[in-house]
Amino acid sequence: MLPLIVIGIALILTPGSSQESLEVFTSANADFESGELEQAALKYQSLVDNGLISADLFFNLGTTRYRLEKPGEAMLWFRRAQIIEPRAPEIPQNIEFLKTKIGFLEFGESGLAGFLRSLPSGTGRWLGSILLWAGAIAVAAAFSLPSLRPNRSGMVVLGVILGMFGYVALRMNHYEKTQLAPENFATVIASGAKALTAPAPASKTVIDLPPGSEVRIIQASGQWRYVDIPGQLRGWVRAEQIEPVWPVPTPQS
Amino acid sequence: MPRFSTAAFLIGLFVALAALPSSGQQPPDGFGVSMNALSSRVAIGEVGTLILKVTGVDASVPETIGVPGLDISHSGQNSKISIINQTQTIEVTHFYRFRGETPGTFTIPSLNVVLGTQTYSTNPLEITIYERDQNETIDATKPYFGKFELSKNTFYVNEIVPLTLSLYVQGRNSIQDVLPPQLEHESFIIKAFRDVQTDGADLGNTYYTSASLPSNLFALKAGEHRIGPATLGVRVKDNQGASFGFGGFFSRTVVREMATNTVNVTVKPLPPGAPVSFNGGVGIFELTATASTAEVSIGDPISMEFVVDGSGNFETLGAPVFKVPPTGLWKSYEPSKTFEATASENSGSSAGRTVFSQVIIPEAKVKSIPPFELTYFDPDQEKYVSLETPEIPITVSSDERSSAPATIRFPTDSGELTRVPEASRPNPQFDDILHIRKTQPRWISAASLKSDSTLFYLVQAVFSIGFFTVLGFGVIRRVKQREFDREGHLPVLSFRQSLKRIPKAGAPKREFYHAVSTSLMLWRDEYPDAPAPVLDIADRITDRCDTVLYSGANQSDGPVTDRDVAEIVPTLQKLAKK
Repeated sequence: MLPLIVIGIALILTPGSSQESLEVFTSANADFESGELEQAALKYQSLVDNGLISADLFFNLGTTRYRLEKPGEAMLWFRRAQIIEPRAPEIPQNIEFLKTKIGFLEFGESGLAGFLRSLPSGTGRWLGSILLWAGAIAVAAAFSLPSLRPNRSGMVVLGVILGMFGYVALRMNHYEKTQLAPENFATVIASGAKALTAPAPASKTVIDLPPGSEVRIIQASGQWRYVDIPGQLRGWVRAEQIEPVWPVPTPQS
Repeated sequence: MPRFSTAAFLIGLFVALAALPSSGQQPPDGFGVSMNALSSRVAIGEVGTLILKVTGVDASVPETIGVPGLDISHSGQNSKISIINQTQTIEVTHFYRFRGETPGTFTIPSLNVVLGTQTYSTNPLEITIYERDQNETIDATKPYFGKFELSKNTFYVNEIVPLTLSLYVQGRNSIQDVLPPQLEHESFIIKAFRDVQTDGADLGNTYYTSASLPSNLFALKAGEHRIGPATLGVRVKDNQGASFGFGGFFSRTVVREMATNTVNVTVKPLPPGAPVSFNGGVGIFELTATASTAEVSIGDPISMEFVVDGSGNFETLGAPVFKVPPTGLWKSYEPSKTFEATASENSGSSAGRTVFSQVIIPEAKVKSIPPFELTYFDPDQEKYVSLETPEIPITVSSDERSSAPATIRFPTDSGELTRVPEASRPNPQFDDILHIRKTQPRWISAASLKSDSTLFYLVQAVFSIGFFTVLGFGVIRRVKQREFDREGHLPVLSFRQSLKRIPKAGAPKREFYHAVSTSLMLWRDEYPDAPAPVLDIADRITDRCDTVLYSGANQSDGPVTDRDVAEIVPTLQKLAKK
């Protein structure tokens, strides 16, 4: 990820390259307007390949892909745009439209998942570590400071409670990282994709995966990916039929 | 009983025609035209007959004669050829039917008919169309006629008024069937005629079979109106038909149409000042209300059933409404309406029962369903009457699910309250995705998406420094304490700490008293200024300890008893509180 960081910082700090990117973006918009969709998509993609990250760029690339009748790729870019701008109403609107049109599979969100998503990223990690440290310091102080000796038992109880809450917060953080973080998900971009019972082309079908469907990658095995499928299902999918939502792959990476 | 057959009627008609003075040209060469009316005075809706007689040649005549206010059309013709003194004469009689819908005198203009090479004209003819009212005496010379009777001629808008259509046909059992009557008026709703009651009676010296068709009507508009004539159709025996001597067994039937009289009525508007709860009902009604449940949560529906019994116009009757607009307390939906006629509809009666079902929803904690009010207009008393349901006690519990907005009643320009129905919200169609964004893109760096690891680890470092500082302080203190102990220093205890080290009952007696003596020594150090009585107590315990430890009177070191512990330890604990 280091090159991405370097490129990102460089793009922000270098006005010349930012200006050039803006010109490419504007030109791609003009191509889109004039119906040159392939050309527009190439220009948007070139900006992505240069490591540029922008919700506007991803949104427009998704729209262009949809116009090029690639709804799976369109969904992929809309999901990426949503990671950057979770509160932009245009993105869920387009996702809802595509869901209506394609009928792709998507993971339902439980109450806990919704609550965790509503929290700022890393909340569980911060909260858990602070609570654990506070508990540990309380216990240590109870035994180390003579002035706290009369209240030692209370301090120990306090430390244990803080430690328990800290543990819960860290478990939440672990759940969020392994289950909810966008790095865990991939989008089906190919038409006619299927989840199979084994990593072999002749295997039986578990379920058809319409383009735009959401899967959670559990294991990679050569050209196959073992995935979680919405609806409490699991199966094997060809690697080229899905693409991880995040991070955005670039030639540099 | 003489029978008045159609054949006899037609013979009479020709005799009458022969006696009528001709109104036309009758030249000596045998050509001529004349036109006459069978009767120049015809009631509204009834059919009259015109006779156009053409002599000399069968000429063409018009199919209709245009006269404003009259509908005249050709209905048939008869031809008669006669040879007198070896001279052949042809006479063609044309029949026209005419009908008038408005009273007045109408002039049928001259009719030009071309006979050979010359044109002949008829004389103008005057026809009078008159109104026949329901009180007119029956003309017993007619073979059949109809009658329209209304129970009253002055009534209110929406008031139900019974009516009867009657038809009379000469002869016993002469009515074979009654066809559906035609009676329409744009300002009235006239109920269907579903029943026929047949009877018979002597009118004058002639026996008539009669049929009555009861129904009712109500007016939509106030003002002066003329209703009728109704057109009645009846299937009667045709005595002219071939019966071959077997009488009615093989008799044919023919359809006869007749028009009734008209009725002039005055429809009065409902008086002004109707209460808000007046919903259009006119008649006499009674109201009862029931609720489907008495225990609900806020937001749960209650089905109200309002039963309205009585006599009147149920068609225009609206459902009862809240007596006081329950804004914010109750939400109500449009009621449904079911009508059941309690009396036979065929009798023309307006008695019946209407059931209104309405869903209401409490939006707040209330103790009862408030009164509903139904106002109707009583035409007999000529005033508005309001009926009110009693309050229905209910239990409404809290429920956070209820968040639906209340139905709000707004005053209109006239000051009345109007219920505004809730509008349904449109659903998104999702016909297409949104267009691309054309604003300047906001580029962000990948670094900004990375988690703030540096700060996180920095904070961890701060916490760890704090933790290890506290822990190190404690360790150093422990180490120093151990070194101090190793050098032979007695551990310095406080009086309270020494109390905790006093052995419990069952321990060796000397060990117990030694610990007590040590505690008292520490107490004296900590409380040098203790009051004299307390010092006395401490001295006595010290003496007891010394006795046990140093007198040598008791060489055995048995276990300390519960009694000794119960005497000394509580006293020492009290010293600690001083």
